[in-house]
Amino acid sequence: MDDVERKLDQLRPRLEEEWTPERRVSVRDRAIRSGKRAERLHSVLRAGGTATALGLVAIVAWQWSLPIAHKQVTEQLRKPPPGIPRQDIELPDGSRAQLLTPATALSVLGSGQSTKVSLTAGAARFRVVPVKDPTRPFQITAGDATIEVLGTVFTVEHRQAEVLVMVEEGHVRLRCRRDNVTDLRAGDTGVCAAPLEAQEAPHVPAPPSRAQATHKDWRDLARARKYELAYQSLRQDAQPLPSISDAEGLLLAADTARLSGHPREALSPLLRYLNRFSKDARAPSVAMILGRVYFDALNNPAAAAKAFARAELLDPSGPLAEDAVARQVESFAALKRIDLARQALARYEAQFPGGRYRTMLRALVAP
Amino acid sequence: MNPRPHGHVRLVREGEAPVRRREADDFDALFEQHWRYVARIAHRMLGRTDEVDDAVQDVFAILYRRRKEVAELESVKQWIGAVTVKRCYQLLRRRSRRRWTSGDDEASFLQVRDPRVDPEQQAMIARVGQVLDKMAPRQRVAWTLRYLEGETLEEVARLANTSLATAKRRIAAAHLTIQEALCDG
Repeated sequence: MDDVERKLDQLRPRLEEEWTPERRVSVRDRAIRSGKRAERLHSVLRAGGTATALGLVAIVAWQWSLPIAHKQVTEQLRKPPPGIPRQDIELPDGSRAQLLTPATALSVLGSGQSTKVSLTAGAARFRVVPVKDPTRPFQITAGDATIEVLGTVFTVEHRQAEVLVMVEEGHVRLRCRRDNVTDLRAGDTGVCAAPLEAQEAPHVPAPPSRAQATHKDWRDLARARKYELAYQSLRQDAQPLPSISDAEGLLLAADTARLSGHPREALSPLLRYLNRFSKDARAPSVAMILGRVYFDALNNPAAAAKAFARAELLDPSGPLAEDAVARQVESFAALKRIDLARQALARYEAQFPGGRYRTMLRALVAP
Repeated sequence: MNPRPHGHVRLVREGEAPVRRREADDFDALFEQHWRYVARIAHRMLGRTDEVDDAVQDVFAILYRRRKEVAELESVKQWIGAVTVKRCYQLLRRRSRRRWTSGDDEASFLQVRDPRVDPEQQAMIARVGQVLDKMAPRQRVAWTLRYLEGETLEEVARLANTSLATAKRRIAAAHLTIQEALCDG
């Protein structure tokens, strides 16, 4: 022990402060106040932390409770931004869905083995790749309708009171409310309408004379070529399309939709007309109109080519035959199927040697 | 609906105080038991009376908040000692930063009013205080615990939360500085 250490040892007992009782009590009270404040702060922070942690746990649990837990992917497709009329989506199995209206709402549940699509509103066109496992078909649900597909092209439109399925290629099975099953092939249109009570429930019952008057109104407006007004009247009437079953009604409905700027809505009446009244004299011109709607308004040359071919078949020597073949050449050229376009052109030249479209069509298929 | 009765009577078993009161009693007991120890360490480390009060208050505020955990410790005194040393170290660091930024050079060490301390001892304490004031806080804490508080080396290491070797090194460096200063003086 050195000298400094020894001196400090002697001093140690005297290195203490004298505390008065008041000072001691004051320090103790301040310590309690400060401790309580810190306690409150800690409990607030702990509660906040707990709430945050619970929130995170809830989010994680919710995520896991989604089909992702089953190695599925969920894709919610919302309304596209204004100015973008269509949106193409690649589905997990390689199929493609084209959203046809801005309000189309589609959710896709897809794994590597099967794809299930739910169409809750709007319309979409599907191009489904061939399904590897037939026991796990591509499936679409829209309202009461379930559509099973093995590889095809078709359009599904979910309206308030019905679901329309229009098949362009291949074969689909439309199951309406589980028990009513219909097989649809290319060119067919299937309708799954809601039960009558379900359709009527939201509407206030109107006197029959009033309903008839409204029903008559849109037809009168269409006949007077006031298509905008006719379309508005038809929409207000909210009459389900299947209830229009006469040839004139279908043609007026198609004209109303087409000429009021709603070409997609013209497809259903046109296809239904062709399916029901294919022997009618107007059928070839209806097929031509359908082809023009597909080609000019909906930018779908493949479907247009089929419609024009149908027009040709319905009346091969009729006044529309030349136009039908020429439009097939044009459709195949738009599809970049030059081989098919040349075949159609050869047919055109054989059938109509002095055809008025010859020069234009040759230019279309020129290398 | 029956109106809620005015006043509230709470039955407490004989010999059992209400919980809140008992907790307060626990804290009071801990304060009474340890305040001198905390005040002594703080005084020897900090010197300044105002900072001593702050240090004691802070240590017992922590003790108040964690009184339930502390009550279950084997040695409350050891825990309190470690908390006090840590708080004093923080205050010394703050003081040295303040000195660096604002030039605060107020003498701080050990005002001893004991009449038994002779002038020679007073001079020695003042000289030690001057040297400690210029010393790094880590060395100052270690040296104070060893030579002014009289703790063992192991206890210094534990209270300063360092290894034994580090504690020894800091004490030796600080002691050499003190010896040189006292010999020069």
